[in-house]
Amino acid sequence: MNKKTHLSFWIRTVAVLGGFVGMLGCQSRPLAWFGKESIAARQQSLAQTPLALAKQESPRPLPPIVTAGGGSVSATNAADSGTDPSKSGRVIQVQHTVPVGDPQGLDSFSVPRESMPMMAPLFYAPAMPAGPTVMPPRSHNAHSCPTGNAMQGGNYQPVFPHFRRETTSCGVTASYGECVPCPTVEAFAVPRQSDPQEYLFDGGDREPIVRVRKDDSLSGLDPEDTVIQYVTEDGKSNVESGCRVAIYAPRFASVRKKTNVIESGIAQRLQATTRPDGPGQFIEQLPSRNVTQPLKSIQRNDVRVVEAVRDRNLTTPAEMVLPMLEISDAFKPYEDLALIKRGDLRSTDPARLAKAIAAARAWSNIEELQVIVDGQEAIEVSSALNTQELRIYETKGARIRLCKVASEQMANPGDIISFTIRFDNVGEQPLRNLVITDSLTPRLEYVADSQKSSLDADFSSKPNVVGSEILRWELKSGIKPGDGGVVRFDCKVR
Amino acid sequence: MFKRVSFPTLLVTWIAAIAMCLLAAIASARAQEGPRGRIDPGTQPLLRDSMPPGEVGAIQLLRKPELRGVWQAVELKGPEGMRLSMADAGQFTDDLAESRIAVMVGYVYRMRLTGLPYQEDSALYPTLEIIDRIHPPPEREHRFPIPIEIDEDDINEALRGGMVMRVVYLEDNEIAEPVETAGRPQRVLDLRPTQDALRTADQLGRPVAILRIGSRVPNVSEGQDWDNFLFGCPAWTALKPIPTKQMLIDRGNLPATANSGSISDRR
Repeated sequence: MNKKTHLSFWIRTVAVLGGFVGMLGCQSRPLAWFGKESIAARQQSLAQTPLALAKQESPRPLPPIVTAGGGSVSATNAADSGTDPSKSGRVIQVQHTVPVGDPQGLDSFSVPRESMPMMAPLFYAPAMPAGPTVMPPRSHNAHSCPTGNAMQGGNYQPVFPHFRRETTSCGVTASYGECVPCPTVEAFAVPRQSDPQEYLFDGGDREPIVRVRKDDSLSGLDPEDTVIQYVTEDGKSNVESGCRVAIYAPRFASVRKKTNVIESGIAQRLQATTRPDGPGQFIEQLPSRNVTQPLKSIQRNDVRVVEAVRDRNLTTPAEMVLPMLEISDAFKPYEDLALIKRGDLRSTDPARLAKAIAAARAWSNIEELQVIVDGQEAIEVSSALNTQELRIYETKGARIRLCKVASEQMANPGDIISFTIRFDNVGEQPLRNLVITDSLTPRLEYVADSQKSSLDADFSSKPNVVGSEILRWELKSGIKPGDGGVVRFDCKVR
Repeated sequence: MFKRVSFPTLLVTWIAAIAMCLLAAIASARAQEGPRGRIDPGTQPLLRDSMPPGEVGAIQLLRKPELRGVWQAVELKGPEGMRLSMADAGQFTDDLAESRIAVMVGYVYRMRLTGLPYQEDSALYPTLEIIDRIHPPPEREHRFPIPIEIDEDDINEALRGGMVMRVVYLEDNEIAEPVETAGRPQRVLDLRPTQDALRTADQLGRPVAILRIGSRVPNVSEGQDWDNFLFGCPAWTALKPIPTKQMLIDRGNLPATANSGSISDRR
């Protein structure tokens, strides 16, 4: 191998290595990210954040903003914490203070799931590198302190205050033994109301939103979703969601770990041994179990069933008597409302509805109620959020109202819960091809043959992705303006 | 510019190039995975299952001051014939007639189990630590106790000299398994000794109670060691049994024809 060959080899090797390093480098950050224009663009976008704008517009201290979920943000603190990122070089971490999980009025008791507190290794390691002291929570009700010391639930307490050593967002450097409180401490004293993990939800329409395909099938039907699908007079198909009901039903399980001592000082020995000596050889000669009997069967008895009968009776007029398919007129106590009975919404009903709907809401993590009218997307024109689950939709003269109630507000595993869905055509045009779809949560099991419909409908059920069922009522006839119907079914709590 | 190179050199160069391309592709795939889980690598949990009894509860009280002074209903279940007594005022009470009791969040309770299956002469002294609460509807707290179940496996393992730790957690309903649980033993996930029970329970739901069963028996019956053994005997109270439908009918509080409705007797 001469000199030139060596040169060629090394040139190729360096080229391959250079390409490899370049490929790896591009996986994390493009070079343009470090350019001046890119840095200027990022600074400009940071300057347009709400916190930075608030700082520019209101130099005076602002009162603290208290949110319904217990979280709070001091605008002063937030503005102060939003120091010029170009100077500090730190990225502002904006905490959401408005619950974003459930826009349907569940915020009164909705507290997001809280994870176990985590501590960065700097608490234990002798060398304390810079980094967040506590994992930032996933909560939307989190404390607004952007250092990542936010504890969920509005009751902020540093676990080991004397361990904190970090420059806070307020610009104050805290040393050992000090904890720099944020200004709106009194707002964090709101106790937690509840935990959504203890509730079963059913109804509504979670993200992604349910949509109708061209073949009238539904996409985006999640567990807990309950939707109704309908077709308007002008041939447009719509799908709408209904109410979301909540039922208190906590379920517990456990994890178990068995450990043993690694070393034991107990010396054990055998007290005695028994060695039973058996025979050296044992030959078992048993008669055969199978015996072939060379005998013919003498007789064989067959019983033949009549397969067909030809009847030669004369034709006589007959009257076909069909069983009643209608739903019973007897209403249960929880659904004894004018809205459920006749479709009239009275002024006294919302208060009672709130209770029954709240009962249904807990179960509605998978179910949602929707209506479709011929592919046209309906617009929600009124929503009585105070009654929690009453919605009215409108699509160019087509309006449909859905209401879903549950029989129980709380349940234990094994209990049976009845759901009632009332749908009314409150618009000015008839609706046809109505399909009600309800996808159940994994903890709800549909009781077989428990569904009833006041209108003639084809019922079907199929499993959903979470191991429960999707219930589907396809109404055979349309409903005129002013008409409506009721669908009932029972579920067992798992 | 380039001259012909020998075949071995060419082969080595191509192999190296292909290997580096493969490495780059693997690195790219790993970079696109993003953050793995919600826990950053290198993060240490604040609460560990190796903490001594009482430490997790104390930290929880520090973290959540609203848990201080909160009573939480628990229901203790065990094999047939097992008797339970609680530490109270420096000694163990008589066997409890009702398995539903109310305890305080953040404290450790020493219990005594007797009447163990096939081990009538033995006794176990487990501890129960309540580390969180649940939020039932008002005036229905006693109807939704945290179930603390002790099965024969736990007892046998403890009697063999092992240490059994059970972390009871509230299931996350969104990821709950669609299985029937009514009238069945509590579902248990057995972990390896190297796994952290608290961390695993936190990933499956929200841990609410820790039950530790060992085989140690007290060798003192008074003094400071005895008080330490009983963890200071925190307050607890027995809950009245929930009347069944038949009990209400027998008392005359319910008409005899009240047999409709879906409310079960357990509620």
